[in-house]
Amino acid sequence: MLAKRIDIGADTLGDPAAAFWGRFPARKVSLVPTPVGLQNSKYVLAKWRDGEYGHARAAGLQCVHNGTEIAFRLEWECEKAAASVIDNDHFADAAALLFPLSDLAPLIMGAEGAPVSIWHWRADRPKAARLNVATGIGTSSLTRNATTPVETKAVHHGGRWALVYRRALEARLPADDAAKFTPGGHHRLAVAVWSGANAERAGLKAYSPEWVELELEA
Amino acid sequence: MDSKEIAAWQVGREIGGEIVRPKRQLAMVFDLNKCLGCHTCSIACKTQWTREEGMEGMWWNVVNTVPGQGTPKGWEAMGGGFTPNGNARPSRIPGREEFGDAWQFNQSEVLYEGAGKEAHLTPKNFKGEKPSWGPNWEEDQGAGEYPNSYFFYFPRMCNHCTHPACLEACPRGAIHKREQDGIVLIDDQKCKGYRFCMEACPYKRIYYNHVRLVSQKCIFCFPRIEQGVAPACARQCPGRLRFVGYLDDEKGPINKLVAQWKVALPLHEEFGTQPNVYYVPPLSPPKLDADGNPIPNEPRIPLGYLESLFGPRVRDALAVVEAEKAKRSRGEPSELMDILIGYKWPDDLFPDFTKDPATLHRGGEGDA
Ligand code: SF4
Ligand code: SF4
Repeated sequence: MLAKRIDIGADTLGDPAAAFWGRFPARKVSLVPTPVGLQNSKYVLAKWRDGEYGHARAAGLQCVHNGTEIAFRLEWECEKAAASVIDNDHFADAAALLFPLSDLAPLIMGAEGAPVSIWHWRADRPKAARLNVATGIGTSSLTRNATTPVETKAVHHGGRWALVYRRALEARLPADDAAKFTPGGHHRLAVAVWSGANAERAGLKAYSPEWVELELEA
Repeated sequence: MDSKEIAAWQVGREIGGEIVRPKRQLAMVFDLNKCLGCHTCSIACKTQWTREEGMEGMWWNVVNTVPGQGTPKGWEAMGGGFTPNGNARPSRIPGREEFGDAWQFNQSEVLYEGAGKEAHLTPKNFKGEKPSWGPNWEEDQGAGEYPNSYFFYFPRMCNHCTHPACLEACPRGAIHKREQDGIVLIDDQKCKGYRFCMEACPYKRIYYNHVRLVSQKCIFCFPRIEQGVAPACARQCPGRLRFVGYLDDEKGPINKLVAQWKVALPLHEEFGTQPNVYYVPPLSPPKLDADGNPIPNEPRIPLGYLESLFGPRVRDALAVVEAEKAKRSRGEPSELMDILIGYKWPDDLFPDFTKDPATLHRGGEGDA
């Protein structure tokens, strides 16, 4: 998909309800449940073997930049929002974008020596994405030098979440753990969505099994 | 398995059909015949470890009156642990109301706002509603009809299991079992609050911290253990019924009670996690018939109930304790009775952990 370069201020760029998004068609990203065999826990395997998770089947993805900031807009179906965690068995809706930090990084959570950067948004802490690095299933941890924050804003309307991630185009140094974007450059990302009402967390999610190729307009 | 090949993350896991064991295992034995139900253990633990925000409702140690639904409510029927063929048994996460949570009271209304004569202190749960359960809701309730009513006090904590269901459940490897002493710990730097451990633990001894967003549980007072000090619950127990030591120490009370005298049994062995807290089951006086005469061989606490907790071996355990007690009352010597009485404190209760914490050098403030 092509991320158009547009002349729009940061605030509007970060607004999932802003009208300009209507000008750009969304790329439909198909999602599938993470295979149960990849669940890194005997308990999760036993409990969810026949259970249904990874409810979201598709997400609409858009991306634009204005030369200094980049924004991703993700939209997916979610009948009833789960945005707060009051009781022990409550989980919040969540979504993540995953960027390879190395050409060899496998799509599923990276690998040793081939990390991925994950922008993890959760409905109960809605203003900023948690930035994680992972080098395999079960290894994600907060980025140590998160020098380039990712702001998020989400709205739930008509049974759908619309979420925007916004970040400075150029990662501030030291940027080893940050996804890099260059106007005119080619990049890749993957998407994951968790349904809080279905107690989805960790590997219980829907994810895009193929990379989404992204080109930034120069 | 050759112990040299064991990596830290493997301890407590089933690998190739075998449970990887720690080098040594710490354990506790609780003699239920001596528990006063005073809750000093729970308070000692709370004072030491769970005073911070987000921990208000946490009781890493609880003392329930049984028979009863316990803490959390109905925990024994929730599942978790392993099936007889070693598969994980599905369960669910107990809710805050089931744990009892920490109630809020209208103190300021009653004490400071001049309404003291009309308003009364009333508890509210985390939803702002009248509580329907508490961490010790059934205190002194028990079961049975007069004159055969009965109950006993039942302290429970994390069992630092040999095959911890919590550890196997965590997809992040945030839970580990220490190789040197088998203590099971949640690393709260690695924990992401997924709560699979809370689901999988069949004893329901893990709590969720809604402020720090991590799961937390008993740590067997490992910082005290490392200094030769007994866990707070054990050291503070006025009933002197909480023995602490290494399971393989043949001279220590734990090995004697568990392996030699075989009077201390694990709780719900059928849950499959191989718990390391053992219980000496409670004796009870005989039942009375309609005329008030004792019925021989029918203890007031039904054997069936004790079997439901400790399995069929409970009959033998009770018979041994009964026989040794009879010996002692005839003036004959009994090693078992000497151990259970625990004449010398703290040496007889936790011989390896007798150091007085007041003699330790303190780095920070606020130690109990
Ligand atoms: S009692 Fe529960 S929390 Fe403690 S080690 Fe066993 S399974 Fe884990
Ligand atoms: S401190 Fe000892 S006697 Fe008191 S409730 Fe706890 S275990 Fe029982």
